Amino acid sequence: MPLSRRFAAFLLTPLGALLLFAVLVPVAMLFAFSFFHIDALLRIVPSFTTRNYATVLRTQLYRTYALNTLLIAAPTALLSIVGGYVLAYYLAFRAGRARGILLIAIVIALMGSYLALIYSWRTLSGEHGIINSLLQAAHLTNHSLGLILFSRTAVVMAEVNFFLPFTTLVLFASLTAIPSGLEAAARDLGASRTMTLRRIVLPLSGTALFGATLFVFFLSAGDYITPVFLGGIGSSGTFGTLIADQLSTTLNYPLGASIAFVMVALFAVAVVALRVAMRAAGLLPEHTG
Amino acid sequence: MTATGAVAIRDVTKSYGRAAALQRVDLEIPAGSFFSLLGPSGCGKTTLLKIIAGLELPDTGVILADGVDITARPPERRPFNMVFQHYALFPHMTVADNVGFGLTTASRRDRPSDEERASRIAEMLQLVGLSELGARYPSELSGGQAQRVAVARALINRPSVLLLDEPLSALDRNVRFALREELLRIHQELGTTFVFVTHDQDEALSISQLVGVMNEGALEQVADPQTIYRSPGTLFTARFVGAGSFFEGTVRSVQGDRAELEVAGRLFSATDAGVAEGGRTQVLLRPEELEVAPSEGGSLRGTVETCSFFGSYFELLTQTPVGPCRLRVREPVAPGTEIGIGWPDRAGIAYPAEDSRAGVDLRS
Amino acid sequence: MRRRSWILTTVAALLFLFIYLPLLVVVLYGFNGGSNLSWPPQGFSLRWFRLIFGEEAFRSGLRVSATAALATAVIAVVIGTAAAFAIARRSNRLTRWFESGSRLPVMLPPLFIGIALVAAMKTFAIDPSMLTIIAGHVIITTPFVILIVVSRLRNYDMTVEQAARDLGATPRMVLRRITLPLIAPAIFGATVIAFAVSFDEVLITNFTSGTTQTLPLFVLSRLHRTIDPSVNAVATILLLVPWVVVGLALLWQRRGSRRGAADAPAETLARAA
Repeated sequence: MPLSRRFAAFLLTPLGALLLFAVLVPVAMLFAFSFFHIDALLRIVPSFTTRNYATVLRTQLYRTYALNTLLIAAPTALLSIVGGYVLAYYLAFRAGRARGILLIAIVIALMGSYLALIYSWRTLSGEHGIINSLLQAAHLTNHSLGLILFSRTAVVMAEVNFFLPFTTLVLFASLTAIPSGLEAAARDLGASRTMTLRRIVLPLSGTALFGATLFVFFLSAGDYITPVFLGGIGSSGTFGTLIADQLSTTLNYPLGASIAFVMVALFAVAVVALRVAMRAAGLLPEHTG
Repeated sequence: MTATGAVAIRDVTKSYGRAAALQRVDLEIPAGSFFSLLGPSGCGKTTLLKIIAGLELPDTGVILADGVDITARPPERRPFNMVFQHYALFPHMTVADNVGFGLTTASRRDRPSDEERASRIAEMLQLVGLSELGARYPSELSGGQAQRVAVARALINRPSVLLLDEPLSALDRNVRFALREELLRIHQELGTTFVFVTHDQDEALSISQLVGVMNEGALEQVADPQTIYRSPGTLFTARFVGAGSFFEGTVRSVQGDRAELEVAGRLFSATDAGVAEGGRTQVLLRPEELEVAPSEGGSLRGTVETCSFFGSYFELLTQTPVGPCRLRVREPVAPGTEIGIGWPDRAGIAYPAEDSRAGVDLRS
Repeated sequence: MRRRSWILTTVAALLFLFIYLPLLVVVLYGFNGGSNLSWPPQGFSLRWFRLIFGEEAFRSGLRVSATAALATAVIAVVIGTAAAFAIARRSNRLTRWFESGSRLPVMLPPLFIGIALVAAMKTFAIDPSMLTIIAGHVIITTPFVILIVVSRLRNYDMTVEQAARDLGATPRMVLRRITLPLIAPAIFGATVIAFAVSFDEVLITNFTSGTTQTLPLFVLSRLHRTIDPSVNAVATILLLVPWVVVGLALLWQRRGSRRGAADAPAETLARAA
């Protein structure tokens, strides 16, 4: 039943208030803070300055952090998407009767705790952890391999572990939305299995691929807990940990705010870059029906 | 008891944004009749039905129920009930609860007792032959069963008019035919006015007492099925209802209801349906009026293109100098054969040629 | 052809293993008898659970998280469902704007939302409390509620509402007897998801909680120490609470699916995510 204009406005008021007071106003405040600075007593001085941004853009260390963030977030996004696509494809077209139960398993995993996963990866990959004790028990090695823990690999593994159920579900939804006859029609017209995947299935799930990739990339770049607990000396410094540090350790809130906005600006670049790349590869058609 | 259930539509107009759905529709539906609204998809027939039901409001015009203006009444306060194309059964209620829903919507004071409700539900389920299925859920019914439930649900409040929106179009052919007869039986049993929307001409012609043919938001013709078929009032109706061949020709003279025509170089006479002397015309000839002429005879010569089997007859599609021509024969004829085509004098109906689609065959 | 699908099945199985192994390890070592985290576990025991339930910090964390998650679920569902009705039933520039605007909080990293809330709290001198925790959680769970309920409202056959009107139901009756029962599974699913997300949230909560400690924050404080087996028990609880809630929800939906009121339960959630 259509709603009257007035009633619709009434129904939207709480959401409007939430978005305004809990999202837009705080983001505006954050933006304002990014132009303030702190005095020697770590008090915030509300006078306009662009020095935070100048610091962020000039300091070599921040460039290292940016690169490290990219080296974690890009593989995380890529592996989550590829793995998620394989799982989603299997669930959508090959799982048969097991589909329902496997989907439930994915949903349950999605509800798995973020911190529990970090902790588990620490347990698994630690010096006296399960992977090493297994290797030693199998006499494959005598001394502990400190390789996995405290490395970029450990961070990426844990994050992929966390994001996989999500990407699987999103891509599953988009794959099942593809009309079932299309694949058969392409095969019938002489396309090979790979060609069908490349020219029909992938483009039709392009929007979901695009959205899920960005989602995982943003979340990974903004994660400030996993790198600290699983990353090593050289790999724990990301945008996320850097910003969090400004708030909890260094107590330079205005600097943290400006780093956050630089990060968001870089995100915008990533959006455009991914869009251009996917368009060029024919994976993001303008019309998908 | 005087019959109730007369519906009158006066000067109703409706548009969605810029698109006109109904243009000044006037229609009288007699009480107790089985009335069909027939037309191609998008002609406005469902919009008109929804306006009668109160589910849509007309931009202008009035709707009268037994002489009373009900234009402004919301659907819940109209003595009409509707059967929807895709059943629209409530998926979370049993068949019995679906059927009984209409009895539970009145104010508490006017609501029938539980016993009465149960007996009315049983009565309705019996009417549609589903007495055993009261405890099922809609997802456990076949299409035909679901539509019977929808009919029972719509009839339980004893509406003076039952509105049916393409109720058979989603069903398999056999089920459709069975349910068609079932609807006729229920109509005869109850005497309720049925307003039946369909795009299927066979359906409309076979069950209705009156048919209103609609095109582009306007009524083309309202008449009984025989008249619609034998004397379609407009070229649109002629093309839309029944199969036929349309020959192009020129009008030589008009006298009374007869028109003298020249078609493919021969003169003959047909019933006039508004042609002007000297103008172009399209002549309708039904397949059963045409016959294969004895050798060298007939008015036209044609080449057989296809020959299709229909059980009791074969239908030939032939190409003639004045366009394609369909005719029925008892024995098959091989494609490629040249035949003569003849028809009795006075058989055709001559319409003014109004567009360039001359000769286009709009069968079904 | 056969061989290829065999490869796909194997890869899918390995991926499932990859997803589940770490989760199973947490639960397995939660019930471990020994205090070493090496393989194999040393017998079954509830000692870490006893230990952890003996700690006041843990018990209060559990209380705080449960309260915040319940409150978040209720508030997000009320705000989200109301908005979903307007968005699904009235399409104009305003509702479209709200629909895309509502997705904004999910597109921003939680860290960003967290520090933005800190900015607002500093500006308006709001002290961190249970309320600020809940506010942060409502921001990120409401978009999910809207997504789930809107897709349900758009997916079902609107003519059932017309049919009910036609049979004499007033608009209010239609809402109570047709619309709400039909979208109830979606609303319920949204509640469960909001609860689960809130129960586990740490990235925003870290900034909005002040001295109040939720269960994830309790775990976070323990992570800073060296490996501590009792954390396995807490992590197990962090996993099991949402799992039990989701499991119950799935069972409930499966029971109701005979009526055709809901799609297959998992697919509803899948579409939601």
